[in-house]
Amino acid sequence: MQRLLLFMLLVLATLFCLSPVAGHAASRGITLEPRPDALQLPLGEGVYRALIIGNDNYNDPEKRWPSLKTAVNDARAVKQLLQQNYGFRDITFLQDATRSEVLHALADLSHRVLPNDNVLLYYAGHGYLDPETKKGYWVPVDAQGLDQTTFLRNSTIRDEMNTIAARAKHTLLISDSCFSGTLLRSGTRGINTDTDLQRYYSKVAEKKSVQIITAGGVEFVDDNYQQSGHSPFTYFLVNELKSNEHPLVTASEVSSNVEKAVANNADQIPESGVLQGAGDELGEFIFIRLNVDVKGIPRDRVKVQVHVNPSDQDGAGKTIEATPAPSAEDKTPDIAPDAPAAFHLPTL
Amino acid sequence: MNHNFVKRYFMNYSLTNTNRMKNCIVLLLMGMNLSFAACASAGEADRFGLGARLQLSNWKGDNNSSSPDFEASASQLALSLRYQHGRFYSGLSLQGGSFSFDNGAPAINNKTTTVPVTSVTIDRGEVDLLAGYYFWPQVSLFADIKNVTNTWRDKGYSTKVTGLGLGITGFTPLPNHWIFYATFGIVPLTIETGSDTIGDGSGASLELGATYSIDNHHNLSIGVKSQSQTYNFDNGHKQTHSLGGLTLGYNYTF
Repeated sequence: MQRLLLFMLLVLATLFCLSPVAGHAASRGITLEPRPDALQLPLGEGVYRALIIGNDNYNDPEKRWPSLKTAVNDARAVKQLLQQNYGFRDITFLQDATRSEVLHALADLSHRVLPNDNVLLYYAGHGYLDPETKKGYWVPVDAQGLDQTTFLRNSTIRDEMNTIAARAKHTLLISDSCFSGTLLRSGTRGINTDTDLQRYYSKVAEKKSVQIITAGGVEFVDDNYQQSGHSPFTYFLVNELKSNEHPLVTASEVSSNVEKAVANNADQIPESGVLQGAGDELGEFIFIRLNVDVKGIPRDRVKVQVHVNPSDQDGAGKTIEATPAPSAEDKTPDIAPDAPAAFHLPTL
Repeated sequence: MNHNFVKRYFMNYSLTNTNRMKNCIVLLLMGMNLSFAACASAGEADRFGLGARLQLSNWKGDNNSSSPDFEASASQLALSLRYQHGRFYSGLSLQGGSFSFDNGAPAINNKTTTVPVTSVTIDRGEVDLLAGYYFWPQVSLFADIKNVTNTWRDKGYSTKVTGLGLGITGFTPLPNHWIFYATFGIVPLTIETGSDTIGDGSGASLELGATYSIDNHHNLSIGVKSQSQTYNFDNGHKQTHSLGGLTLGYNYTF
């Protein structure tokens, strides 16, 4: 028995040496160690997950919902950006989604979410505002005329978001559709007024957040901004996130800049706020920028270590590695089992 | 496909092709493990986990007419490790424990004779090397090379029971970070002592349980596992074993 236990420990030790954690020090490339005075924040260790929906091709038998030109392109751009630059690991991408597909994807996501996770929901497609009841809707590709039972009511979306937010640490909904402002009841949040950045990020990272950013209030929004292939809202959203050079940026900071840019360039004013009753504690969804350009060094040889958990005694913290950009081919990610499947090894 | 057919099919298959198949599967699993290790080192999105589990087992069975029924309880400690790459996973589990039989005990069998044993401690070790694939988001099929070693302490006798089994496992999330899981599988077995093959048999396993996710790294699990094995010795005797009990586990995922 002692020999068996010794063998077990030996095997475990050997395989541990092959693990990504233990093997990290052997990574090739240049490692940029943060300066001692670099920003170090107590961010959680949750996974960044996203559900991204883009609806272009509508099949309305009554022809009330014309096809859009840019929604799918917008969704793809957001997906690519989150994957390449912001380390989102679990992304579900729906192109031309039906009502049922959206609801299934939301339910599936809510099952995968774990505490400390950061969840982003993005929708680009038609929206609808009932002029009498003032209720807002997302319009899926299988919508039939003005039959509201074939739409996705805002309250349903908020309910699903509520379910996800009950498990996740930070939840952010970005809606790029007409009348998407109806998703917001009330409550806005200002951006950082605290000049002590470290203190500010620490504070908002610890608090739960359930935020919403919408392309407009209760107005129609443009489809193709200056033939860019994007709506004005997503055009400036992607621009903002692409041009961001800070390692950390909050959803409020992003929305504030996007709101100004869109309002100055298009006939719509994006809005942002919180989902009431979902446990928002005035925290913030924080985007963590991965790729850093270093002059004279190819990007695929640069690895950046961002220490985000100073509570570790050895100072190792959580390491985020910049990886080479994926191929231009945009693949729909596999909705494979993620966290739950890793918990238990079945044996006979 | 009824149970007898499955049993007969696997029995025949194991008798004629066991060694060749075992070698192929071992090579396949080793290859998968090395691939996963290589991917992990390269920074791919693989998951690697370590687990420890305590099984409060009750081992009982009978030697048919050769000697009285036997029963003993013991705690078995299991250590496991696991790689997951998308829908593929592979893992190794090592489990061990000592069972003290006060009265009846599993009889000692060789090719031609059976020797009844009344009081003995048996050291039991189980090694599972497996690979599986999630054909559905929450359900996977896996192949498991099982190796059970039983050593009759102070009797100078031990058996090695090996087999390649097939299993199905699935899980479903429950509220409040709980996940329910279930595993079922069957395995045809070959029994050896020393260098002699002394019989064959079959086994089945069922496990039900739940895990609690503390966070993305730490999991606790509680469950019930039951294994039943039937040995048919070449000397004409038959032995049945039933092993099972409560399991308590902890898993760490990197």
